[in-house]
Amino acid sequence: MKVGVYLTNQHYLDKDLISALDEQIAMVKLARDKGWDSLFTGHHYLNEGNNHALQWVPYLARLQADAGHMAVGIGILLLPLHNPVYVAETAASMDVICRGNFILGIGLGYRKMEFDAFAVPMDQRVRRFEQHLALIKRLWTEDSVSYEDETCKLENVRMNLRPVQKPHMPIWIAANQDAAVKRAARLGDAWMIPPHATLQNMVGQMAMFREERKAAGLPPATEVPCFREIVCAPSRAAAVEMAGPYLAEKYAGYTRWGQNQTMPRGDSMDQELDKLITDRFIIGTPEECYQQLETIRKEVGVTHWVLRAHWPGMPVSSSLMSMRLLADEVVPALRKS
Amino acid sequence: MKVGLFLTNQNFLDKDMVSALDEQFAMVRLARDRGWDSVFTGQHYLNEGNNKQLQAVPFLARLQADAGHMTCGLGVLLVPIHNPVYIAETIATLDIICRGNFIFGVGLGYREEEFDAFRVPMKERVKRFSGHLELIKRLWSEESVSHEDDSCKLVNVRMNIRPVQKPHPPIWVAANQDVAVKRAARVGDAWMLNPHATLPTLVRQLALFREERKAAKLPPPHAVPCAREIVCARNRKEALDLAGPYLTAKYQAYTQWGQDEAMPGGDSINQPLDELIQDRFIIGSPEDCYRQLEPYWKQAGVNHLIFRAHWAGMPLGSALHSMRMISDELLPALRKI
Repeated sequence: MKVGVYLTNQHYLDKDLISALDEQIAMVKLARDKGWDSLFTGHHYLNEGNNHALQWVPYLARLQADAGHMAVGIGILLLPLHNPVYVAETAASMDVICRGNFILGIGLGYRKMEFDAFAVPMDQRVRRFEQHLALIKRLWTEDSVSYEDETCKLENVRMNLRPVQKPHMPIWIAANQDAAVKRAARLGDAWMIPPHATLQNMVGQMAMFREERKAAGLPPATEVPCFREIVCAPSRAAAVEMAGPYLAEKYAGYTRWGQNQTMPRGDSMDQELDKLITDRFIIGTPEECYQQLETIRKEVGVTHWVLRAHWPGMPVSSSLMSMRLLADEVVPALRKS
Repeated sequence: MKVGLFLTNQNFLDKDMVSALDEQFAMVRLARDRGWDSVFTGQHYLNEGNNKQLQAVPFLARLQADAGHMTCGLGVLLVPIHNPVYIAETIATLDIICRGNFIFGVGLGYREEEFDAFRVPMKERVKRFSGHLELIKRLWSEESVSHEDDSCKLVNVRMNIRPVQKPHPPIWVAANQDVAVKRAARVGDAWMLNPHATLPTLVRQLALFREERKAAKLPPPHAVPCAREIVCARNRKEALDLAGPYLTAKYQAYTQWGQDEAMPGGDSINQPLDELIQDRFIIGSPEDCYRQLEPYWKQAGVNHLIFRAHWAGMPLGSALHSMRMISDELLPALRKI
């Protein structure tokens, strides 16, 4: 079992982002020194409301300097918005900077504002996702690529910059809805199970993912990464008190940003925290956290936990305490499963 | 006089890029430990021929971790081929990572292959350059931005991530031709004197630059940065032996890539090395280098020299040797200016 840390690095507008970066680096160093396996971040443009975040490419490249042995991953890059040559060269650069230890997570995106800002029609997002991914893989591996669509024209081009990992770094695909999970099965190396998926939905969609890979003649995915919100404290009450307001606010933000509309089969993120927590978030004592994670692992076959322990506004010392408890009292047990 | 380091990080195809990155770190650390003031890198996509390089944004963000007190600069980002929201957020992020010690170099680009790859008509490059820069400055400073063109649509958007430097990082504009130098005077905070222009051309164009600023009622620029190729050794012959072949190959590549067509007033970079050197490159003993550099501050008022000391294929040891001689025997004299 691998264990990673997910750093959203989103903050309230009154937060100084240089100090916030120092806090993120503190979390990276804790994870590194405690022997965690990976660090991830996400990607948005034009954050709305009381929220701002750094762009992932320079942010992750800078974090890598403090990441030591850890794999570094983006979870996720909004693929349809970007030019495929940009994505191919940038991801290859990240793989070099991470010394062949980079994971490329990709997704469709769901915010209309972002599609407008890049003048990409939202109804083309699936087509662009599929075509761009195919072109990017060709650019990483072929010696002469010709291509033409409305975003990119290439004539017998050889992209000289290549990823360190051959033929390319692992491609993990984020997906909420059934159709997207099936697409992830066909086009990716793993499905990134989102932090807000309930146990019931994960079990059903994981079965779909496996079937779809089999039908496509693909081997089972070697990694089953699962993203979870986690708060670990000496008691459940302390955990809820420590992180509850920030976690609740984060999910209210998701709803306002429109992610709620991408939830599968009648599930909703627009709920009270108590209901949101059930079968979804990992909250409690080390023992409780372990049991909740083990339940998911047994049912879903998770091989890589990617844990988020900090949300906008939360004091970083609370997150560091939660991460230390996890590192000392939960991760050793997880390693055995 | 400030002294900076320009890292092209271009390498032959048989070079392992992970090791090449370690070499770049070695140069950054030498410059940092010797008290140089800045480190810059440039951007290309789809490098042609026997040449590859990392993308500038992640490369520079990673270098920052080893840059200490040094200012980090992009020299240059190809503005017309990128989305303005992408640029505005990415540059604000770099300014935060660099703790408000970042310089934003911008340019038009000249390679048709890059414009095709991003599906940007080359004839629109000036319009996009000016239009994007204007929008980017608005995104960095205004509370509600609306905009619509074929690359970006925004309706009452507030970009929450802002640069540390107010209202924005210094914008340095690269320019070869007279018309571009005049544009730099109007839209930038400085003109980045390019490494391949001859001294007489630079002096003539600086007069144009100053006149244009005056006509636009803009103050004289604080920074007069000039990039130069430099090889410092015990004597001129040793310097030529150390770097001649690599410098020659670099300028042949410029010619093949089409930069020669961007040269002003009948100048050409498609010449044998002996002729190229004249009034252009800084080569020789520390005393030779000082004498060759002297006209740059005496005639042109340069106050920030940015030295490139390594070209594709050159052994790192030679570049470090040259940089150490510069640090020991040239830098102290330059500091007095």
